[in-house]
Order: sequence, then C-alpha cells, then structure tokens
Amino acid sequence: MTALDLLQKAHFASKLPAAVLERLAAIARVVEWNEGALIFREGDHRDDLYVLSSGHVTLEVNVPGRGLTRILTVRSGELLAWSALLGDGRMTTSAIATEPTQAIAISGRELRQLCEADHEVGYHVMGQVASALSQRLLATRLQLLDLFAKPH
Amino acid sequence: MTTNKTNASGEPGGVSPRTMSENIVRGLTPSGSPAGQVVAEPWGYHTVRIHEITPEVADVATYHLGFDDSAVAVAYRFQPGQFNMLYLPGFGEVPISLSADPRSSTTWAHTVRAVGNVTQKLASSKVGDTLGLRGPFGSGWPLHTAEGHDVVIVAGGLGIAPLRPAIYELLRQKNRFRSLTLLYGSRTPETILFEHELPEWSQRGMTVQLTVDRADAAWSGSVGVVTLLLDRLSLNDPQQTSVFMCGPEVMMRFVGKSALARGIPESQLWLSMERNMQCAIGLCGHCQLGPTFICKDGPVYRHDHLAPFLNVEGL
Repeated sequence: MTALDLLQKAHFASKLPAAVLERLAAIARVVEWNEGALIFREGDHRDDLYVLSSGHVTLEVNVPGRGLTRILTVRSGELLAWSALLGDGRMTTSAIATEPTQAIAISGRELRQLCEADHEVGYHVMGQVASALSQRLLATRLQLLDLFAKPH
Repeated sequence: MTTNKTNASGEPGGVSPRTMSENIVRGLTPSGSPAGQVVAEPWGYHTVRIHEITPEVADVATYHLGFDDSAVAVAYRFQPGQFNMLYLPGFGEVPISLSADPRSSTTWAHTVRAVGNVTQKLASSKVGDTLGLRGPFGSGWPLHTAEGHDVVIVAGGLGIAPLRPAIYELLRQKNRFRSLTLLYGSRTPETILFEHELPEWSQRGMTVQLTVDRADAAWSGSVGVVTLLLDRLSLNDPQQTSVFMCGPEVMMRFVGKSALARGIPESQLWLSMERNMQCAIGLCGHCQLGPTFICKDGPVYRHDHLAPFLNVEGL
C-alpha cells in the first residue's frame, strides 16, 4: 500500500480533504518496526511525526525511583511524535512498538513548510492535530484524576 | 462507581433481621422496563449464608450468598443491574449490586470492596456466616432496547460488577444482538476484576478490550483511560448502537460525551449511578439527585434523563 492509501484509512486523516491528503502523501513514506523496537527515546531530537497504520506503540516516561512508566498506548490511525511538528523536535516520551507496527512518516520540517506555503493545508492539518491533542489532553486529565482509586 | 452502592456504611442499620419469604417479586418486569421493581415488603429481611468467598483483587471479594429458606431461594429473581441491601447485625446495612448470573438458582454473587465499616466487617466473615438480605431493589439494564443493535459495554474499575449479570444475559442471547463489545478500564493490571472470565466471554462472541491507567513494563496491553477505547472503537452504525456504562461518575460523563460525539443517540445510552442509599425505597431521601431517587428510580437510567444533573456542582 502507498502512503496515500494508508493515510486515507487513518482516523487522524479522516476529515482531511482529498487534495490535502495528496499533498501530505507527497512528503510521506511508509515505515515499519518490529515488536519491541525502540522508535525514539525521551529527549531524542527527531524530525518525523507518524500516523500509525497498524500495530501499536507504548509511550513511556522515565520516572526517577520508579523507572520506565507506561503512560499511553497509541493505536492504529493515531498520531505519534507530534513534537516534531509543533515543538522543537525533542521527544517528550520514549516510544516502543509493542507489536509489529507500520506507520506513515512525515517530515515535520517539510510539513511545517507546506503549512506555511499553503494556509489551507495548514488550517486542515493543524485542525486535526489540535483535535488529536485535545483528545489526548482530556484522557490525561482523566488519568490524573485516578478515578478507580479506592475511595477514602 | 463501585459495586458497593454507597451508604453511610459506618452507621448501624437500625432494623432487625427477619425472614419474610413473600417479600420478593418474582420474575422480570413485564416490559423489561428499567423502572424500579417494587418489593412487596421492602423492610423484610431474609437470612442468607455465605456459601463461598472468591477473593478477586486487593480489598475486593465476591460473596456467594444462599438463602436459608429454600422457598425463598426458588422464588428469588433479579434483573441485571439491581442491588440488594446486605445487613450485618451490629454494624449496619450496605447496598450491593448483584454481580451474579441472573439465571442462578443456588447462590447469588455480590462483589464487594472493603471500604467502610460494614464492608470491612463483611471482609472478615467466613464461609457459613449469616447476614440479612432485603431486595432486589432498583431498575435493571434494559437489554431489550438494544435488540438488533451493536452493544457496547463500558466498565470502569468495580463498575464491571453490576454489568456482569448483563454480560451473562447478553452472551446467552447473543443472536438477538448484532455484536457485543466490552470496553473495560482498570486502574492497574493487578486490579482487573473477573480477569479469568474475560477469555471465556471473548470465546463466546464478545469483543473484549482492556486498558489500564497505570502500568509497568511487564504489561503489554493498552495503557490509557477507558474513554479512549470508545473514541477508537470502529462503529458499524452509530444509530444502531447501544451503550451500557458503569463506573465513576466522571468517567460516565465523558463516555457519554464521546458516545454522543460518535453519533450514538442519547436514548440508547444507559448508565448506573451510585449515591448514598439507605432505605432503598425512596423514602429517606439520602440518594436524591435532582428530582430522582437513585435507589427507587435508578440505579440504571437513560443518559438523557440524568445528564442535566451530572454537571451540577454539589448534587
């Protein structure tokens, strides 16, 4: 399958117009990881962001005294390594493929250039990124509430 | 939401145990309506004996209770989602959802977290000990409304216990539903309830997805809140999807939000509520939420009947 085929099926890209998808596919490539592969380590500088097309990836944070702590599983159709687009490219977690995983990789630098050159593309892409991050923020808040803890 | 329907569990119940076999209503409500059944003599107690105790996870155990009076055992029926009041003389009374198979005819399971005086006393009980039981009370899961639909069960923490009778019933009648999916969120891998039953449910045709809020590297499953599982779930036809949910109130608020965003009609979202239930028949008012009494009108409600009160501070 081509990057365009995979993008068309991904939940992250489901609301993007066909023309925008084609522009994204032009700067995208397909990557694969084996089970257990370290995709990136917390603190690494990376240029690529990913949209998973199959498999899943666990995000981990190193907590002193506690070791690597799993905080989230990213699934097929979802966004990974958003810092490559919005941040300085420094990864805020480590990412490990917990099963054979395939993704569409897009260079954050090239995507930023595309968004700056064509604001319509930028509007749609950033809308989807904001939506994905808002969902993740809400989930993180619920995690912080520790809802299933024993009541006191 | 825990399977322990909250009450002031440190307080003595103030009622005497007695046996009245006639106070149980037989059978399900004719329409299968979630409206609460009326127990003929709601203050009447039956003596029940602990036949078996199944330790589940830390501080949680399932008590398999059997009636001493065999006539009561034959007559006793409950709807998935209903609860009993369990009475421990000298300690008080506590509302506990049934976590049993509704077709059970010998013992009735109650899954209890030891969290207050009554439940901690229960936790120190042994097989053969007796306690008082009155019930069943409240409304059940209206499974008939989901016939022909994709059924999604969303459970959080101990919220899976009041859903377990519904799961048994759905699996038994699975041909009447297009698909069955369980989305279950737990705090950690160690607190997953009924874990040994999940493979069997899966084998019998239910898609089971688990997630935990916290995990170490030994856990290879999903990490993240249960609402994410619903966000990610592929829906055949949202208009023909029914959701039954039970868990902490905040979780259910966001499950409702996610389901509505996915296009599932609000009339097909059902939730089970927990409040300070004491009398179980809508008299004392402790469990009042807006215009409704959870013990009598609930605990199972249609989402749109309760949604206006879920965000009201102080209710």
